[in-house]
Amino acid sequence: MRRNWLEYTSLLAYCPDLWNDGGPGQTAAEFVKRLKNNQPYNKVHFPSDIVAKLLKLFLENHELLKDVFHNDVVLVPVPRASPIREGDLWPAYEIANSISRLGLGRVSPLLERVKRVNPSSRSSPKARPTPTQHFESLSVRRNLSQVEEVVLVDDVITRGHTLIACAWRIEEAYPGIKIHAFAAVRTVSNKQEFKGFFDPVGLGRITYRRNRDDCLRRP
Amino acid sequence: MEELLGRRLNSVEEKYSPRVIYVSGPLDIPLKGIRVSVVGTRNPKHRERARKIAAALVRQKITVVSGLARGVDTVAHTTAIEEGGRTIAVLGTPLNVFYPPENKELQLRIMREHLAISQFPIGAPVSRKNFPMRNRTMALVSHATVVVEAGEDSGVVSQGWECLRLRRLLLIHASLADLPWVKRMMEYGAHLFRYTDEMLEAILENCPNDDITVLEGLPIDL
Repeated sequence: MRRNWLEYTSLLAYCPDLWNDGGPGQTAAEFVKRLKNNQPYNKVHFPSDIVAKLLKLFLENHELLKDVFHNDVVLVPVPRASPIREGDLWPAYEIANSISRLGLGRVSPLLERVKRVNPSSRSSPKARPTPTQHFESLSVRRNLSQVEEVVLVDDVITRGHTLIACAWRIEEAYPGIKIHAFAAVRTVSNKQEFKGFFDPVGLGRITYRRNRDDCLRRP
Repeated sequence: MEELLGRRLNSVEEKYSPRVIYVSGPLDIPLKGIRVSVVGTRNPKHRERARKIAAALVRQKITVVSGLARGVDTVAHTTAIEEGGRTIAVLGTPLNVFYPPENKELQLRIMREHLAISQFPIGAPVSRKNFPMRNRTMALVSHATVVVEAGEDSGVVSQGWECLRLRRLLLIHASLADLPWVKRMMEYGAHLFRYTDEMLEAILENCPNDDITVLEGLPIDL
């Protein structure tokens, strides 16, 4: 039986409807674009490094999460919506590497995408791939002998379909493993609920709804 | 850590980035705004398509990047100039070589009023291998690449793969959907478009704007 929930942490918020508001909505939208290309601000600050620094700062005030992010945890980058070739830019991998450089885990690209799916963040709700479709497009590279704790690392979380599918794949290969998810940015679809660009969630929850084959993310 | 035209490169960008780049023209460096490559065959059947695409980009204040070759490249540069926009020519030759010769006046105008860049020093030999290298550089200096028209063994293929490697937006006109390399690129993240509105929407949704450098609201100093 596959799990039907996953806890996640995220730091930043992005509301697609506010991409051009001239304020925090636009700042967030621009950051998401740069994060996906890992293109620096002011010539020097890579978005992946900014995310890692924010995470480290956030953990200073959140004791519970220190059990999740530590030196021995395995950071697993979440595959992009399309397969990649060796050496291609992989935003989640860049974020995981930046986090690892701050001593908050070691990176292992355990998962790969073997078949293209529509990117969730750019699809209308009806066109978004279901968790089952994500699961079927992913595979595990069994290159770790012993894994006890994993943090799935992604750039943007929408509903959590990709993350829950990644968790299923990992549990299938490593039964009993402890899994947490981290996404740098979470999308906020209702603009009334967008409180600002930096809007961390320490412990959010993704719930899988089996009868609908979708996920509910809170917050 | 490498830089190109005043911007720091990430490790993936560094791989095929030229170590030195030669520039001629008044556009600001570091480059500003959004830049989009418009590329395609040297013998286009649909020049009007290339013209419409370049004009639509200029209306959004997007800089048109191309390779100053015959055909689609020439239409892209000339349209950008005629429409009052900005254009960047990425050359496969040193800056003092005019290739193709019939584009000499266009190249001189771009060097005078816009920007021409080359990774090949004055006096370097010009060979066929320069052009795929130039195409990679063109992908690197652009936020997105638009393929207007191309054949089975088109020179834009090298630029398309570099674009995907860098995770830049790659937009290919839908009329090319049946070409084997287009099908392969779509598996790896390329997108098709038919109308300029679709193209612009994808560009504005996905391409960072180098005019926006402010990052406010974070509890860390940058």
